[in-house]
Amino acid sequence: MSLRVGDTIPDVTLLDPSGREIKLFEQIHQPTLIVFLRHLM
Amino acid sequence: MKVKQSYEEFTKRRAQVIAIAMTAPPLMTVWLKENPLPFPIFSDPELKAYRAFGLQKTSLLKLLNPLVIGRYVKQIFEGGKIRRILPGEDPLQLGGDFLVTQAKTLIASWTSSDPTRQPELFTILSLLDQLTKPE
Repeated sequence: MSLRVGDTIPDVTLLDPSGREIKLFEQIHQPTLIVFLRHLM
Repeated sequence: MKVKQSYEEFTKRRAQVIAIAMTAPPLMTVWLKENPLPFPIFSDPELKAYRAFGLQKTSLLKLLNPLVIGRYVKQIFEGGKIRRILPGEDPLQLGGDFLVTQAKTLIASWTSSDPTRQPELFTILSLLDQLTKPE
């Protein structure tokens, strides 16, 4: 799936560090940079 | 990650950062103790979120490309560090960066088949400045 500018991003399910499921949309309250980590930091 | 060092530039612009990693939660907890972050990080061990955002894997051949290796070396000299691959993680999985509005609309994205390619922080901050600029 390829997202385009103007699209609504998918509301994916993630896990917090304790293992609890959270939804991405619940975390977004402001303009947000979502960084999917590569292995170089 | 330059975002970590420049996080204050995001909060000044009333923006937030969310990181997503393929690391499973137990290992994430351990990793965070050694590498605390000022912003939240979440796990996606099954790569469902990575796929939903269109992020694919690279190939070993592309990873071992001399140009890619050269960029890794350059980034290390510039203070970057290679994070060790934790169990369950896929070293071929590519990352990406997505800038979205509060309404969850995509403003810009940066994805690349080259794992060393990352967006310029200046570009991201400029876009945020345009978003929050008074009319």
